[in-house]
Amino acid sequence: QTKVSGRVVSGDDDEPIPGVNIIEKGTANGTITDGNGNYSIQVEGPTSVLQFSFVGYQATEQPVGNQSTIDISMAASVSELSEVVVIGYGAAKKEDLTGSVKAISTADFNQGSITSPQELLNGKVPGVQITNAGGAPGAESTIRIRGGSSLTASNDPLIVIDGVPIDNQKISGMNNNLNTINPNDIETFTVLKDASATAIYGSRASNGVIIITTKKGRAGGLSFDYNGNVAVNTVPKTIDNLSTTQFRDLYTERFGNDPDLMALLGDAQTDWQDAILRTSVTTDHNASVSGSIKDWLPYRASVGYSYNEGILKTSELERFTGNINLNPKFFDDHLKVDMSLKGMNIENRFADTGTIFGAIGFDPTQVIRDETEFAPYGGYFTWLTPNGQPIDIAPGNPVATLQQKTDRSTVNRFIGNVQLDYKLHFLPELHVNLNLGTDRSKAGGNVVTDPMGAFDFAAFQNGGANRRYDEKKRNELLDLYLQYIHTFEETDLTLDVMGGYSYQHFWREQTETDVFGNGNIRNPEKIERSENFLISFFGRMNLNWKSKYLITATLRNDNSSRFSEDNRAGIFPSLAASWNINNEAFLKESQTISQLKLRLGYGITGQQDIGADYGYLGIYTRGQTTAQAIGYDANGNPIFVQTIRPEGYDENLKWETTTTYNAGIDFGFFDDRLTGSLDGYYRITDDLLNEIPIAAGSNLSNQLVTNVGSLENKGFEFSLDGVLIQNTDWYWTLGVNATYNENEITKLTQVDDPSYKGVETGDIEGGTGNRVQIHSVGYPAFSFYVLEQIYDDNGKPIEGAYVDRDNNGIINDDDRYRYKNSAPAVLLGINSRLTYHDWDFSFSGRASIGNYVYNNVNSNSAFYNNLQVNGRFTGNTTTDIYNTNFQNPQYFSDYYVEDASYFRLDNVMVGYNFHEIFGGKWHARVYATVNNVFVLSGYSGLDPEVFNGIDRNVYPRPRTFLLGVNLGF
Amino acid sequence: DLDVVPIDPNLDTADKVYQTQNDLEGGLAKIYAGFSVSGQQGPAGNGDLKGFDEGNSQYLRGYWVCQELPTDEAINGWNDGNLPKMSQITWGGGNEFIRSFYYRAIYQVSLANEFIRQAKRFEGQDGFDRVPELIAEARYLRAFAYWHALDLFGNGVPFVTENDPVGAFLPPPAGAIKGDELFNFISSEIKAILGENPDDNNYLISGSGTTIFGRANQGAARMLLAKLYLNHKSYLSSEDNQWYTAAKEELDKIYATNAYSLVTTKDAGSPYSVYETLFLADNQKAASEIIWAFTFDGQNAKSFGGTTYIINAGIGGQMVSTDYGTSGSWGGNRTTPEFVNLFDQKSPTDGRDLFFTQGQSKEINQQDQFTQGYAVTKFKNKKQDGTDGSNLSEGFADVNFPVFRLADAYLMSAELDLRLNNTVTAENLARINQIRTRGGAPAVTNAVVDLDWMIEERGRELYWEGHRRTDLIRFNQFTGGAYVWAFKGGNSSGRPVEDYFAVMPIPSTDVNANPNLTQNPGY
Amino acid sequence: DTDTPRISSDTQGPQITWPLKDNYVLTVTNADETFETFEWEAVNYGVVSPVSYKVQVAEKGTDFETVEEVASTTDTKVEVSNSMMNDAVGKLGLAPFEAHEVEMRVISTLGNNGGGVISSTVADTEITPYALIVTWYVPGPFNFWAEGNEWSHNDLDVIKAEDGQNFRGYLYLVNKDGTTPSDFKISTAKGWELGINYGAGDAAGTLSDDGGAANITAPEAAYYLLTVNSADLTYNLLKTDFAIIGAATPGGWDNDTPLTFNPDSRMWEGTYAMKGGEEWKIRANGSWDDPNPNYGQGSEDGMLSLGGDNLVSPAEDGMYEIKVNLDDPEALKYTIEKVN
Ligand SMILES: [Ca+2]
Ligand SMILES: [Ca+2]
Repeated sequence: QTKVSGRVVSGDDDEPIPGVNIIEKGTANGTITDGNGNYSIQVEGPTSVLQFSFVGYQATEQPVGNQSTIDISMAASVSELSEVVVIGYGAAKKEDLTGSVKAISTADFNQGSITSPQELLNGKVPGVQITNAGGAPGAESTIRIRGGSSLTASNDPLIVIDGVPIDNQKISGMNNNLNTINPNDIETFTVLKDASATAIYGSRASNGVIIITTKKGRAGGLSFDYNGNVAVNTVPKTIDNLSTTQFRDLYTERFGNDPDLMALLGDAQTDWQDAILRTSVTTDHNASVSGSIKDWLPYRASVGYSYNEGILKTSELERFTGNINLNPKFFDDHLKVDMSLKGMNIENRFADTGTIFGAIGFDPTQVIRDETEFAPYGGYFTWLTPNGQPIDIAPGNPVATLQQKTDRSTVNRFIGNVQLDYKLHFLPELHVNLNLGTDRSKAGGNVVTDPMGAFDFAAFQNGGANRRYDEKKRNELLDLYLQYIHTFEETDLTLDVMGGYSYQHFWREQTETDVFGNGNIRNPEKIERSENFLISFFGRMNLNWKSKYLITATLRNDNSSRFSEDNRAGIFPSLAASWNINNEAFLKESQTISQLKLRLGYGITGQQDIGADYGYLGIYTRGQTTAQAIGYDANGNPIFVQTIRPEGYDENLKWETTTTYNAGIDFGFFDDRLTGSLDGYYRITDDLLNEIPIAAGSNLSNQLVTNVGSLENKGFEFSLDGVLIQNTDWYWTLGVNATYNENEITKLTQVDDPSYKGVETGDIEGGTGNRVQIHSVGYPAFSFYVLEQIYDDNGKPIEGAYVDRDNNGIINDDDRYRYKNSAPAVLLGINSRLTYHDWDFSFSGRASIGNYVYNNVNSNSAFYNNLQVNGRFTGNTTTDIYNTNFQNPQYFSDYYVEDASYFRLDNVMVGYNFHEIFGGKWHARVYATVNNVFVLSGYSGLDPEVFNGIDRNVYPRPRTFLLGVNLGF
Repeated sequence: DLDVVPIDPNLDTADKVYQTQNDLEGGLAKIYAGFSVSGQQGPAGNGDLKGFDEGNSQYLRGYWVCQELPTDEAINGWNDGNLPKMSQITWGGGNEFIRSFYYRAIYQVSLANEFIRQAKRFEGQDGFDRVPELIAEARYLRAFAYWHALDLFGNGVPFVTENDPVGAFLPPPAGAIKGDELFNFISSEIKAILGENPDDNNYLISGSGTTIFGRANQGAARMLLAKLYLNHKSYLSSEDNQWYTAAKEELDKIYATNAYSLVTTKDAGSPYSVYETLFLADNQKAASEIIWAFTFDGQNAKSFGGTTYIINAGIGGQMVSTDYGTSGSWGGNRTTPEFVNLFDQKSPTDGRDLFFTQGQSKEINQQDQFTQGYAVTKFKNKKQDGTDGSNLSEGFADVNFPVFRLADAYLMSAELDLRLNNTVTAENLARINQIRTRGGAPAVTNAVVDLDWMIEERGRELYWEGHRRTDLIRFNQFTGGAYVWAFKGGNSSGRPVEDYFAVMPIPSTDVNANPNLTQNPGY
Repeated sequence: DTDTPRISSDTQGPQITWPLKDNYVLTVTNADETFETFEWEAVNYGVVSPVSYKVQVAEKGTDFETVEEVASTTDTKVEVSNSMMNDAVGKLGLAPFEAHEVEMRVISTLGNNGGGVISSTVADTEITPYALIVTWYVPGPFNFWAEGNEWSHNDLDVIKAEDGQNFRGYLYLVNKDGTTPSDFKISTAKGWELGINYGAGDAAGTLSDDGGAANITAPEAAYYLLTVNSADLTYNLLKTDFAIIGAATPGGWDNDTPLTFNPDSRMWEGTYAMKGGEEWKIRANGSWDDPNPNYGQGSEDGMLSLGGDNLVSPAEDGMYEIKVNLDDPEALKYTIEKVN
């Protein structure tokens, strides 16, 4: 044993640093420096190595050797501030950023049962809301950055993967576009939030941009990494519908004196939700190797496999991914080449999610199967007419629907690009960057209905059915830009100018056939094909004076084939400035403030993702042979004529534009032990693209995508990350973030009339074409538009009794009012990580406050008329019927609009790290997590997290218990 | 690259899609098909209208729901949004079933306008000799849809012609409620295509009996005029005998062509009565009586509306759907006891009472129970020889829907006699007795035939053919308490309803979207 | 939630000053007259929403457990006619021509399914209702013609009273052997157990509800018009033989041309050479005088009415088959069809 002592000072100013961690490498033995930076420690001997670490400084190691005194001067860490962040067409040091940009890298990702890239990010970034469509394997995930800026045009952010902007339109059989990438291959997410950062992407940037980079090859020796896990998914909660006993009691109470109606009941006790849901197993494996071939060809290659069983029976997803990144450099590093190839194969089996609502409503007294009685239908209980035919309009047996319908699809996708960056030999300050990329996918599937599947009546009559669909998509990209960077030494001014050109082509084709088992055609073959182009010029200039004052200006000119020649070109400028106050003399010496930056930004972005490629053109659609006009000749023989339909169009269709103002402050205290930022923003969207009911007779449709009106989003975002405890044994970090957003429609230019109510939206189940939301001037988008329910003195709603808001003695549409909306006012995120020696523990959670949900499950289920139909079949309801006693549906009652604020603990993880295996060369980690741990909410439905606020048919989000291992060298 | 043209094999721009006269036939066919199917893909999948259940947005289904469900002839209590209110006459401006028909009717107008615009480009060119006639047909179809719009929604509906642009503008209403603008427009349009409008006689429709069954001709045009004039009291601010005289003249011109005759025979061995053959899967054989029809086909014109809806929605209870040539039994529409009484009590021996009564009660206490109220088996997807229509397994009907029928014309003539002279001429009495005899009902005498009898007889002959609401309004029996039936007013025994229900509300979505429009009084 | 509209539990019901008299006698003749006009103060639920009011009636002392609606309005005033009142009392199952103690109230409701009910004060009175069209059944051995089953209660052998009191109906009182007269009883409901069964009273032409009362007998095997006065419980049997008469008939206006009763079809039938476009009638017993019935044009074609206008024969001369069906006292029917 040897005693070592010494003093630790800051490399910046030679001041002592108190509280530095000193650990004898490979042991738990350690100490910290005192107030004067002094320490002393007993170590094993000369072979021992001391590790010094402290927040804000680069960690360092010192072999003890023969020394008994080791004084250390720690260099300020490059940490946060000099971190390089990927931005549009380039990269920048975080310190030099002028816009609202948040980068999240591997270390910050969410852990646990992660099957889609979005989940890595959930709750991590203020202003970013991620909602997955439900618990189905590979379910769609919606990302919203700072609330939506559009109404019906897409509100999805632009996603750029390794420099290739991908097509936001989904391909059939793959609901989550980002599933193309294995989450394990992702190195960083960069979220560009304000227009000064996004405007370089012009017409696609209004909803923010997410730039994803995958892990690159690195020079150095071979390394290997394996990640695998097994998870069990459980059903956390089911809808509260009537139990068999409750149903039988209620039914008997109402129909007990009618023997025909009573005869409809069965003798079984079936929990239909239980019958269609299950506990399922998921497993995920991913292996990667990286290294460098002969020192000039760094590479990284990975393969991934995951198998995901859904908790809805028969649903499953199997995914294979492969990723190769090659990152060689040539000519003394003058030419950098980044090549990335990503391939993916998904095998899906979809389960009909309609069975979830079906199970809620299916008579719990009926058996699931009876081999004898229901033999013609595969043994599955089927509602029959008095003469023994399946009833075409009766609900199908949910279990039969799952088992007798096989809906499989295969999706293949490839994204590849090569990026050449050449620093000119004669002028190294100038470099040229060429990016060639492609994104191709191919999907196909069959939906096969068993000949005994009575739930699909036409198929049952025709020996089953097979619907085949195929889809192909191509997206080609060419980007070329030049960048010149020069520092004027005498004035300490750095100029960074970039200009470029971009061409992108999107092409897609869908075909579909639908044939019955007996050869009859259900639907004739259908082909749809479409394409669009985007051609752009862009430029950016950065000025950096003394690393204190920074100015960024960008300009983009986009030309889209989705608009007519007159409206095709859009100009999208931005301007931003920032002031690194901490680099000013008066703060340079501060012990408390380690980082302080003020940012101001302004920019205009656009939106052209309207779903239609020919929205401005008067086009005609040919009719299929199943929808012809008929005449009869003198002999009564038919003459069929195929039809040509003119489509509605708006020849003045143009960009939607969003103007954003952003002011922000970034700060760090105590050598960045506590960091955070606060942003305020104000966004105005004009010429909103919206699909609206248009004045009848004005066009060739009743609804049209057109430019109407303006809306505003205002909000604040705040984040704070801190290290709460840091010592030899413990390390504890806590991050919180908060977002406040306010949305208001300020204009709907379709009409300039104060009595104009707005544009109805928010389709619900029940009836036809009923909508419960509205876009109105002066209110948030997607405000609920409902009647104000009146309650009796016991607090129960009175059927059909609503407030007569215009006091004219009748209750009608004019009495509807705007009541709340589906967007949360406040979103909170919290995540924390605690390390104790080789153990670590972490959790993350989210809260949403002020989001309201229309409970369509109750409104379309809980009324007595659902109990039996025409004396031929029966139906169950939710227990809400005990509260409402409604005879008929009351779709427009505000009773169904509920406060769905919630807190969800997304995941909890505990892990252990092994160091000394295989002679210390290998590292290993074992961890266990629980995902979707619990939800706290007053919402009466299944799950308060409902995108756009109408709760219809949600695939329950499973609660997942996972055990994982990570192994590598 | 930025000037894209559709690469989809089924999509084209106007200049490409219209190159020959045959292409124009396809454009005109769309207007016709607009009455029969709901979109470009049968039965559903590429609908013409958005935001509705596609089957409900089909023209005939929407019209039937508006014309029949609110009357004594039919009742439906499907748990389908606001549908029960259609039978109760308790609807409001937000009713989605009224809304879907409103947009469908105006959509037909828009289709016709677009067609006329395009077709006029080819006028006078070689190989386009039939263009004037095609335009005349389009004008007929437009006037027809406008007539339905006028009848249901009044004179305040948006008014657009081929001279208006396509785009984001706000069409003006035809005029104020009870104004005469739309009435005059329909009248002058039809006069024009009949060659009876001196200012506008370049586009003539083909003569009666010379065209293909299902396409409009002079007979259809005159029927439309006669209907318009006969019902003028509902449309204009006052009643005026000149219009009754005008209606009578139009009907007489139809008879004068000798192109039409009542169907009084059937194929040998047919299990159906002669009357029933008018509503069967091969009812194109009744072309001598059916002046104009919406045509349907179970394979080539599939939809969840049309006669498929009329047949399938009328089957339930103990009825066996295959007895009616279909596999669907949607269990919705049946009839009221008051309508049954038009037969049982008022015309007891009458072969036209096609009811299914087994397991059905005559009385109705619950609107949503199909077994309450007699089922109606008038329309059947069966051919005269008793074999099934072309698509039994999927349950899509071939039955063509008679829009205008000679029997209707005969009854109108008799009614006009009464309205003008208080007595029916011998000729028209004989016509009534031809209809009755054909239907298996005893002949009547002048002593019986008065206006009260006429509205009942119209029910007996024409029930479920989409005339009832208009007829009851003309006889002042639709609103008010002069005649009540089960669930009129929402009450199982029926009660009076306010007069404003005679005109339906303009859907609030359109009053909203188009501030030029004024909601009809009462709503 | 405090701002949700909620009706208050201490809301007062409709405030009404009852105009009721001590008793009311409702009759067919005063049916259209006003029973009473009720007026009350609007109920204030504390919410702005349309309120409906219903005037209700129930048997006294039943606490409105079985209740009938007399009238319904969104106004605060409603005029109730005697017939409306009679309908409601009838639906309560209260026997006609007897005085009944009833209670009345006005309730207010919100919404469209009878929610938020608050009641007014309750008032009582005495009401004597009249009967609506009432059907009595005539079981006897002659029923085999209809049902193949003796002494059945069926829908064809009935008598009906339009005023609820004076019953009429035609019966073919012939036993299964086709020759002997049939006896019978009269039941107020379709079944022995359901109502009152009348037999012959001690005096001729009277009825008795005594269980042991004798059957009523017909003097001979023939077709009869049975009339019953339910108020004084008397009956009369009039044997009827029908014929046609008039310019259209072979016998002209001077001579009856007889019809024959066909027990299988239950109709009076005859086939004669008729003159086209001429007038005629159907009468019984060769007399135009009461109580012998004669029938002319009914409200509809094919329908007959007692003492109605002359019928008119079809336009063409020729042989016609005439059938007269008198089974339903409310719907007497005939047909005239050409035969070749
Ligand atoms: Ca109101
Ligand atoms: Ca047909």
